[in-house]
Amino acid sequence: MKPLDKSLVRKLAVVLLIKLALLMALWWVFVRNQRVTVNSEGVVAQFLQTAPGAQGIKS
Amino acid sequence: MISQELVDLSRLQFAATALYHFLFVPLTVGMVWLLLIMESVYVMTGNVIWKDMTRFWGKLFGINFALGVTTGITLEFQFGTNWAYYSHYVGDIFGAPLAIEGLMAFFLESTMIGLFFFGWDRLSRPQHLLVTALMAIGTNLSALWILIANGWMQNPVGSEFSYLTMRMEMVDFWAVVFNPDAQAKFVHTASAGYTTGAMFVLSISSWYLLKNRDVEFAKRSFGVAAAFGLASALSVIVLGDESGYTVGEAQQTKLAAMEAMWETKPAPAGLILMAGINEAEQKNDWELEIPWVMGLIGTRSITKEIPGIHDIKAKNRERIASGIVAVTALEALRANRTDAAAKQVFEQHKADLGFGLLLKKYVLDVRQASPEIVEKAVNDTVPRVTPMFWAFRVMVGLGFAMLLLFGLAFWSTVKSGCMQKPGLLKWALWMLPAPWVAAELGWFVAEYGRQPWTIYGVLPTHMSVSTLSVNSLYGSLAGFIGFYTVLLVVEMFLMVKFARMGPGSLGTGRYQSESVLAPAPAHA
Repeated sequence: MKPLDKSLVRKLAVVLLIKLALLMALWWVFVRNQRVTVNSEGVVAQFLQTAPGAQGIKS
Repeated sequence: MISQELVDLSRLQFAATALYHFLFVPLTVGMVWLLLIMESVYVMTGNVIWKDMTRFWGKLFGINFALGVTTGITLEFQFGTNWAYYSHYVGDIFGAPLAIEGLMAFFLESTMIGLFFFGWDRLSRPQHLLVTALMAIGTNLSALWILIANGWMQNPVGSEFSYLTMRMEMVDFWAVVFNPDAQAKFVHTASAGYTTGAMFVLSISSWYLLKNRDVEFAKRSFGVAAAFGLASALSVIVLGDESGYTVGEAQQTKLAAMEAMWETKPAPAGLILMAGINEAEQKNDWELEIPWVMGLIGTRSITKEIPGIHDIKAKNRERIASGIVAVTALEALRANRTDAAAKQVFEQHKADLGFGLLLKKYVLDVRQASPEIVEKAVNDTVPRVTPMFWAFRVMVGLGFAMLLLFGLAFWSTVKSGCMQKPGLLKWALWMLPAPWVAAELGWFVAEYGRQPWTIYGVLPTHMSVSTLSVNSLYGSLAGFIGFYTVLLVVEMFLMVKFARMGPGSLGTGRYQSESVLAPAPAHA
């Protein structure tokens, strides 16, 4: 491998490591604790009015 | 009700990261084919300059890939954090192509890229060429699966809503794969990537030619880029027309907004080249129109009408009324899953369920929606016309400008006269940003034009977001933008550095630019 190629590979390796570290940091700060549990009941609560009021359907 | 600020911030965060991500993608998708062409010529002729071309442009390709890889991961973070309801509602379908992309295409692409860079001295010429071909296939397969996922968001085929699981479920995998929207989007987007790769090589080669350095290398690179770029720019325009046709079939609101068609005109409709758009009064104050053209390219017929915004809104008003019935029936079904009457009503109206949910932006109980609220929801069903109309026209204008440039560049290559045309070379250099601008505008038209939906006609955007705090979104938005800006700066720095070095950076001893790079002799 030529010296310039080695230099580029070294630079890219450093960039990739920094990128992975930054991604990890972003995940650690903003994603790790943002656990959003969604299931069918959660969707019902978000999307629909309360079930007991669901009477008298007209087409 | 969901905070509009939360919805807007989530959209802004996704848009910003997606637009940054797509600065890297098209160059990877396009340049890989140029590398394959150059290496094929090397394998067939044995002329070492073609190997140098493959290695040099491959180096710039490698910088772009290294900086771009994983920039899509933050988008996947957001599906989980910012779009949890979206992920629950459509994850069964949307997740499948994304998973296939990772397991099949990305692994293939990444493995072959490693072999491409480190295999020159370890593989035979045909073996290395095969690696380059597989790298190209992997890169483009990756784009295919992502666009199948995106195509489904534009035209949700092969799936059904289940009131039991409260989510969309896949009923026909092949309908999702062969979704006309996805296929048209793939070929259009991939061609845009090819054009980007060609423009990149053409522009940098032009700079070498203007500087009169490494002329034989630059002339060959210029010629390959001109020929490939001409074919790609033609494809992107023809396939963009096909993409527009599928939009007209599946997303009438988007087409009407792109074309500022407020009224349904007699078939075949004219193409509005320019217009003074008056959003307040929902009309155009003036229009510059070419008769017949829009009808022909939008419907492929002279008798079919393209509905205008006012007619689309009238139809959507009816769908919202039907959607209210669907939501009400769904509530009854959730309360009593054996309620046969509710089930029957729901089945009749479930195609309009999403339209009923549009009202949830303004009112908790859709049955309480006043006529004014219904009217607001109706107006929401069509995106703002002005940004759609002009973004589309700038994109198309850039497409035709690139076609003209590649045409002239190809002609001058055939006539062996590119060196005698400094004006053309300067134009090629200054056009370097054009494919990126066009591609970003294309994505803007595709995604902003789908609003107010994340899944067209099925799931409104405001129902898709997670219930996060606004402060955490401001923080993550700043973090993501900072992260991508750093990547972009490093990319620009490395690209400029190695492009300026030219083929001399290969250290082969065959290029005049090497004398500039060679270390100064030591003096005693």
